[in-house]
Amino acid sequence: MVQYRDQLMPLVQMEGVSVQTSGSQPILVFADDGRSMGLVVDEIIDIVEERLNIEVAGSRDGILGSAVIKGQATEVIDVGHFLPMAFADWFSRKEMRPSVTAQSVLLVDDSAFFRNMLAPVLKAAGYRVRVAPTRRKAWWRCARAELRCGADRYRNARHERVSSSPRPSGPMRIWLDADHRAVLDGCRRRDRARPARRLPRLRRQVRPSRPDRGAEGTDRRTQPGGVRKQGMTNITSKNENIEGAVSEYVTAMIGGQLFGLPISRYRTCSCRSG
Amino acid sequence: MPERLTRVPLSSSEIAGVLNLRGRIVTVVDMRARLGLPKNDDGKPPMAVGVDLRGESYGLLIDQIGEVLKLADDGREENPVNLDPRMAKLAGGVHRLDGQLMVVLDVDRVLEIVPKTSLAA
Repeated sequence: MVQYRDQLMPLVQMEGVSVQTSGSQPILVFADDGRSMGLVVDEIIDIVEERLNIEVAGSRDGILGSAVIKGQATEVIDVGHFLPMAFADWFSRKEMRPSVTAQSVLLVDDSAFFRNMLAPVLKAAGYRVRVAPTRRKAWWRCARAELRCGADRYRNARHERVSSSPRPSGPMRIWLDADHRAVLDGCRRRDRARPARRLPRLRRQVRPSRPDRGAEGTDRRTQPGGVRKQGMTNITSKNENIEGAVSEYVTAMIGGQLFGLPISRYRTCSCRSG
Repeated sequence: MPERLTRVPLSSSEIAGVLNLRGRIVTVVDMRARLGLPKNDDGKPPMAVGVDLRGESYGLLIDQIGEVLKLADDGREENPVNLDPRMAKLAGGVHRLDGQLMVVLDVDRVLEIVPKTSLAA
């Protein structure tokens, strides 16, 4: 526990991180709904905004998988794993609020990774979530929950969205997986007039404000052949398929002479300064 | 001089100072001074290119940034004999582009002037 802005904040540490007994310790703070949790880390390196593409699934609890961030293979932490360690009811607290319109959702996905990731998101959004790994198990869950989930409506789980018959507490939506984008797609088959509901974004992380708003990072690098409107004359170079070994250079004008900085040897990014 | 650049007293004239670059404090090398060129007097703020070397981040102050080019390694030629000697020390060859000569900058040699104990530490 530690005091953070006039409140007590529980600290959670990942395995392998040792809490120092003196000096300063970097902590990532996650806050929601008036409560904060601190995740203890060894070192805070950088804050990046990038498209996340998790390529390799994680093997440990608390790790979503691996992705390439800023050119380096990085393990992506599943914050949702650690949040309940601080407050056991982090995700379910909203559920406890009596809600007349709380709807039930059956999430069907053969990937455990996505079931575990999406179920808390849906719960936090106020739905009552049931999960099932396969079509058949989903069907049985429907049957057990005494829903009339007609087998005739329950077609190919990969591409369709099926709605059950209406119940007093509201119709149950069944979101089926088709490369995890169909889960967000919300048109009911019977009710096409209703607009699609998008899943609320997971908004749990608290990030300190970026210190250098004027920066352009490597993700905004122009493609070879494109022209940056910097007042430089268009450099025509042979950018078509080049045989043999090639190197990439960031070109810069210094004192009227064009220089090239090899990228592969160094990580370069261009930023405005001032 | 850019506003966010913080000068470091008693450093050599080639070190422009330290800069906050995307959350990291980096030592900034003034490339004009490093190449022995006079200061830029057209009033435009310089650009900084971030470079990582040996785990440390640096910034290189340049006039203008250009595009990213992919060039064949066998197109790289030795420094021409009439290349300015101050540039020749930092050049790692040249590439001939249409109508222009591109000098390959040897960043290792550029950053040799930075003392081993980094200023930004």
